[in-house]
Amino acid sequence: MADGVRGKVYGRRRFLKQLGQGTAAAAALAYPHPRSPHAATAKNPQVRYAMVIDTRRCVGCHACSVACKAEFDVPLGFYRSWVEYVEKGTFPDVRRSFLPRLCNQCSNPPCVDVCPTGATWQREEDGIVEIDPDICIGCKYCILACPYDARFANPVTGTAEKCDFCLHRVRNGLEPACVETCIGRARIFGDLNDPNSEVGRLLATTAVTVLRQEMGTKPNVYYIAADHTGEGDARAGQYVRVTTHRRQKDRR
Amino acid sequence: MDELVWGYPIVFHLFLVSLGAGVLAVSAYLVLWRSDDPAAFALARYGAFLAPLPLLLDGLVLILDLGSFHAGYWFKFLNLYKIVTASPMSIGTWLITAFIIISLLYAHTFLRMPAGPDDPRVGRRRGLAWAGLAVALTVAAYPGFLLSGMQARPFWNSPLVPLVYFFSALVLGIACKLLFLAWRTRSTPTTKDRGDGPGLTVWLARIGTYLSAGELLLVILFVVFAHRGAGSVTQAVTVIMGGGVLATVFWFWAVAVGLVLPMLIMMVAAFRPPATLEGVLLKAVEIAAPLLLLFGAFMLRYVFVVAGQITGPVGL
Repeated sequence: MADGVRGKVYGRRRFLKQLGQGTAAAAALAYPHPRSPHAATAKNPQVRYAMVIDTRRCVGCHACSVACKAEFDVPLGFYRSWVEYVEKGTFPDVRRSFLPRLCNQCSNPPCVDVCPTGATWQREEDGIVEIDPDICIGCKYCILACPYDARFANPVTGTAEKCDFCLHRVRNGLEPACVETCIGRARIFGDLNDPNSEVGRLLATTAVTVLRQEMGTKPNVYYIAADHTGEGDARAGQYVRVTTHRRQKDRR
Repeated sequence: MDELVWGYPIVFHLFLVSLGAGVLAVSAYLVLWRSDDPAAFALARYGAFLAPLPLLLDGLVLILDLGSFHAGYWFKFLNLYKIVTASPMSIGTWLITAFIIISLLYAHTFLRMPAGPDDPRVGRRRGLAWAGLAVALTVAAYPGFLLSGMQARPFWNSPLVPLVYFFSALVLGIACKLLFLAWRTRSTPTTKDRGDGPGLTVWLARIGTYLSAGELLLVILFVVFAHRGAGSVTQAVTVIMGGGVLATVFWFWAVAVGLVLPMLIMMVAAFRPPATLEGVLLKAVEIAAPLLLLFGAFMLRYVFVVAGQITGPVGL
């Protein structure tokens, strides 16, 4: 009887010990995940890619949207990069401007924080936020967490997708497809950490804005002379309309 | 026009998680603090058997809703188990898995008959009840953390949301227990015959009243703070205020019909002698009130899921 009791105690102790070892091993296996948001968030990358969009030069031709769709075979109705038409005013005091949109490659990306599988991470070397389609399960949490609505669920692959500054081209010394194709030279791409780059010079000499600055995401897409007006901002009696070619028509 | 990224499967997910958590929490409470009452023990036993089922169904619903599953990668969801991140969804995945395991082990302690408050498995049952209570209370608040952690969705981005879900889950647990009592009534016609002591129905109705009142208070605080605030949150909450597209669903179906009305029914039953709890009132408190609570909880989750997605930050 006593042996039996001792045996039980020993068994429980051994079980608890093994349970503790197993938990520690699981934690050790889990934490060094190379794409863990904690491990990979780049706060001070050596290269910091950024884009400056000079809306004064944008004519709303959609060449960027089409080049992007061709580059990535983006499904119908979805866009990695798109152009919004912002119309406001009443005749004869009217204005129509164009606002090219894309992932803002935030330095403080909320999409990385919410990803449950580590499929979305920020590259240490250049700060670009990337998605690994082999890891993404398509839970769509990141789509809702993005304040710029820059992500979509690809119905073909079942994963989240967004602009990655054409990483495959940038790696090979090329510019992103949208930048290369822009007929008005409205999109300028480069390394913000290089003071001699065009984006570095523009940011040093020109007044720029970012989208939804109050979110604290620290975007790396900057706008010159952008009209930030939304339909919700319309003052009494003022006509404001924002349209896109996306399936999701409204800004959110 | 807005396209919903999260649709009905997520509404069901939030509902089923709360249902399972509430049922397990109430069952564990009954085992830990009312196990001397045979009727309470029987109720805890039913709860133990029910608790894992919503979570198992929920897991299936979530997997079926994944984009990867739609694209033919049926087992890609296992990537969730390869990493632990600070994401509420990652933490929730592990919590729900722990919940399912603990609730199944807990249910197993009731499985072999004769199960009773003094059977040989009481030690293991009480231990698992403690573990179940802890995990159930955490899982009860989890849907709120899942939603409230996103600054980009101002409707959800409130610290009160996890509290609303926490209370709502416990209310759902009470509702299921009342339905169990109604089911048992078929063989034992009155509360007195069931040997409930002070009256399990009355006790559940009393706890249900307090919890429903707490949930109602939190819902009102959520709306008041959002409405009296500024910027994106105030703009977002207009969808449930007068004239908003979800105002009727929220105030009439979720709050009035699904929370206030059953709370009043439970309140009438809660503060009267158990022997007088018969007839229509007994049926109302054991059948109508819980069904209304289940319906209201579902509508509340529907409103939250939709409202959070059709609203966003003000300005660009």
